[in-house]
Amino acid sequence: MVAAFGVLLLVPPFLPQFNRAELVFGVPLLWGYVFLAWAVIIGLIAAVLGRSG
Amino acid sequence: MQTWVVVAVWVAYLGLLFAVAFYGDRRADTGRSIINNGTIYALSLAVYATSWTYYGSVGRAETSGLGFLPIYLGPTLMFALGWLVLRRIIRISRRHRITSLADFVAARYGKNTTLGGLVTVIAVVGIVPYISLQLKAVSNTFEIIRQPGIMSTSDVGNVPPLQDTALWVALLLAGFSVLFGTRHLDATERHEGMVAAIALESVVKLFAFLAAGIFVTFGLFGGFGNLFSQAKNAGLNSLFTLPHENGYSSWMWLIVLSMLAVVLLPREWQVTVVENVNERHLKRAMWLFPLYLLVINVFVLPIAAGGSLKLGNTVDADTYVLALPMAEGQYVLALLVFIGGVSAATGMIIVETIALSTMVSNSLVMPLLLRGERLAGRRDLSRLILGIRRVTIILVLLLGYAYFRLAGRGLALVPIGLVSFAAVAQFAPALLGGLFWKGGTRKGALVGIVSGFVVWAYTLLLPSFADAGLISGSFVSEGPLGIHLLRPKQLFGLSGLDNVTHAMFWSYLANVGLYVAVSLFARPDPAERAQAVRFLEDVPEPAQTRARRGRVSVGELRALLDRFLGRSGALKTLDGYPWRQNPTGMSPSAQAAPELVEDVETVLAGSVGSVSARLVVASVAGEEEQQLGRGTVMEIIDEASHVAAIEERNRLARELHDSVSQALFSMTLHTRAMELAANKEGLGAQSPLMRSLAQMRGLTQDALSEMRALIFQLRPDALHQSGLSAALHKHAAMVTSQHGQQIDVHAPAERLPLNEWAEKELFRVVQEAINNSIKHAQAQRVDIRIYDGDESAGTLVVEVADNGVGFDTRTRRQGHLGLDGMRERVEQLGGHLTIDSRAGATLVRAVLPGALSTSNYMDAREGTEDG
Repeated sequence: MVAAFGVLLLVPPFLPQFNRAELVFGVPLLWGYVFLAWAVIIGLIAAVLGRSG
Repeated sequence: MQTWVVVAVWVAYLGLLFAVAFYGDRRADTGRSIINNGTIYALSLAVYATSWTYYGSVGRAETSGLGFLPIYLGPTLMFALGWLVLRRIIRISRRHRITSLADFVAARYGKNTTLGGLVTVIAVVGIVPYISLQLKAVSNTFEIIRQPGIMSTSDVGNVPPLQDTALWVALLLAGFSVLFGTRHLDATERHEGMVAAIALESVVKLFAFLAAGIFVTFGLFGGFGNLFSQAKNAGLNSLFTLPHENGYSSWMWLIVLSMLAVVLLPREWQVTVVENVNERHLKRAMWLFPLYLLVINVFVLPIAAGGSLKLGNTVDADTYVLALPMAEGQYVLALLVFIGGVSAATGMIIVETIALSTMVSNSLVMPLLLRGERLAGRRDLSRLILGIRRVTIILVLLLGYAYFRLAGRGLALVPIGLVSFAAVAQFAPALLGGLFWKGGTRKGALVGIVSGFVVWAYTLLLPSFADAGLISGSFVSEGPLGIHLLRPKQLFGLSGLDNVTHAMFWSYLANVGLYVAVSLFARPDPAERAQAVRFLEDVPEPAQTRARRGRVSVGELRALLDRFLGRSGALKTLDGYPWRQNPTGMSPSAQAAPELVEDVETVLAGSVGSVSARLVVASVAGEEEQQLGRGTVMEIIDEASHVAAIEERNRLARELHDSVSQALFSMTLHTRAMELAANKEGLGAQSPLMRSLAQMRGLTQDALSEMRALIFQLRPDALHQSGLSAALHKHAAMVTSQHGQQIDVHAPAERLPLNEWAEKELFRVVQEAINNSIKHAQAQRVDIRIYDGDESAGTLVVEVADNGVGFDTRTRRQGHLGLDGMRERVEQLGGHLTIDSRAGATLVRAVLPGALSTSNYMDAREGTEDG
């Protein structure tokens, strides 16, 4: 589940929406987006594992 | 910086690592492991981050923006699937004592020697570029740090080999790996000390890289915002994006490739599967390892941007991490960064070469030597095995050096590493396919891997030789013999892709296509089918198969163990044997029990691989490889049909539960409803209709409880799924409903750490005791108690007490023949049974010393599922 969600976040058609050379909040848009998505995926893995004990 | 300072710090650091490893091994020998912990496990997995990550990512960012990231996103996704894929691999490997990737593939397809050897050869060839990448990184950064004037590696030029740092680095690391990995033979191929050192290295490289990143971002620039806006103003937009032209196809292929590589690289396999102490550690690693990768990548882009701004094209971007502190005169930081880089490279080389040397000795050389029967006269093979491994380590590093000299000098780090990723990815269809698809066959795996490897060599390896001028460049640009369709980088006219994407497309088309096609057409032989069932069903090997071995004495087995493990290893194995309480059975001339033969084969499998172990044991047990034929194969077929029978019974039980049971249950409800309705109509309890209704309800309830009992008997695994205590509660409730006696079960609420066999046997013992209490002793009350008899030794006590008429324990009464069976079952479990009986009180007590020790725990966890 988490893996499927992760794939969704990290491949086209989602990804190209952020592939622009702009700075948002002072950081490159795509860089910020990928790291954020990555952190969310890791958080979800930890959450799922925490719930299942 | 003075060369001697750098070398002294470097050697001191390696000495520290070695001390940690030595300490780790010592603690392991005394049974107090220092790596038995999920965090250390996750850190050891971070051996994934090598010089490639440490230096190469910055270089990659320079050329393809965020294109460095998929290599770390893939592992995150794979670990999200960890519970499904990795735990399965760990479990199967532990059960079958599989100690390497090659062994795993060979074992899955019928313990096949050819396949194991093939995987080994491909792994060695495929990893060579990866090793060369590490040597290149260490030797280049060494040149930069000791000669501040030299900033670009092209200045280093072509020095003769003896003055070449890379050669000395290779030899130093070879010696270090030999010391680390081949000090002694261990039946499980685990190296606790090495894992401890690797975990430390992961901390060091992370710390050093973050220090460099913080220095660049906050020291040289005013934080992220300042750095990025300067970079944007300087027109470095390509850093912040993916190339639009084939950026996405490359991005996706690299995610797939790294997902596979994080499992299939020999070093990752070693730390994830072989060195895993406890599969629960995987749970922490599933988020901690991806988190480590995230953190180590945060500063890659800032360093790339900072390097471009400050140093521009004067310096190879692969070395920005070190060159920036050097250029700013921060020599202490530079030294720290250098040591971090050394950590990244050393960790990779040690684990990789140790894993490869295990594969070469177990799956390639030993099977060949054993076939040739040249070893018949050798007494002590453990030294031979260690020798093979040492030579392998040195050879692999020298091959890496050769590749560096011949082809790797001009290339950036990441493209070199990707060649290796693409090579090991060729194992994925056979290995992962074999894990989830029963139909995969040996022929399919062989053809698939060979074709994938050939396409890989043609489309990736050959062009890298051509780029280095080893073969004519026209071969790549014009195709062999000028045939345009066969150009290695545009095979069959496919163009517009970068070379890794192009190679992966064609090699996977061949590999997956042929694996599936050949598997569908070729019938697997029985040995293969049996292994497929064992791998996919995750069933334990049934005890019956053990009858298959020929005659062999205990002495012969002992000699065999001596040869492979050395004297102390042999003694350890035999002393650990659970039947040692019976000294006559262990005298050298006695015929070895089939279980002992099987155990010896499993232990040997740990040190020489499953294929060799089978050959070796067959050779002393009088079974020739060719004759392995009928008898063994029949047994294996039996085993497979045994599994099929279990499956069939499970299916029947499910169907009965879903259909007949449900129908009976609703019948009782309907009857009850009819009774109530009739009652409303004014019919008395004694009216004929009401009486028949009551009778009918009774009959239906009886039928239902009988059906439940039958279903329970049909599903022996139901016991293992719910655990002993729960099963006993169920059984007690059933007996109470049928016979009316009061039966109480006093058992710990948590699941007892017993393996499946012990649970089954104990259940039968208690069942028999209850049976006796009710049928023969006419007891009205039965108490079952299960408790931990003695904390330290993990003694399990199971008691069945009743208030029946009792019997004389000295005379064997007809009805109590079951007692002998109970006693036998308990003794086979290594315990003893006592019976104490007088009128009004009978106590049957089974005491099992050590039954609750943790070594049984893993098996006991098998029924639980989650994730």
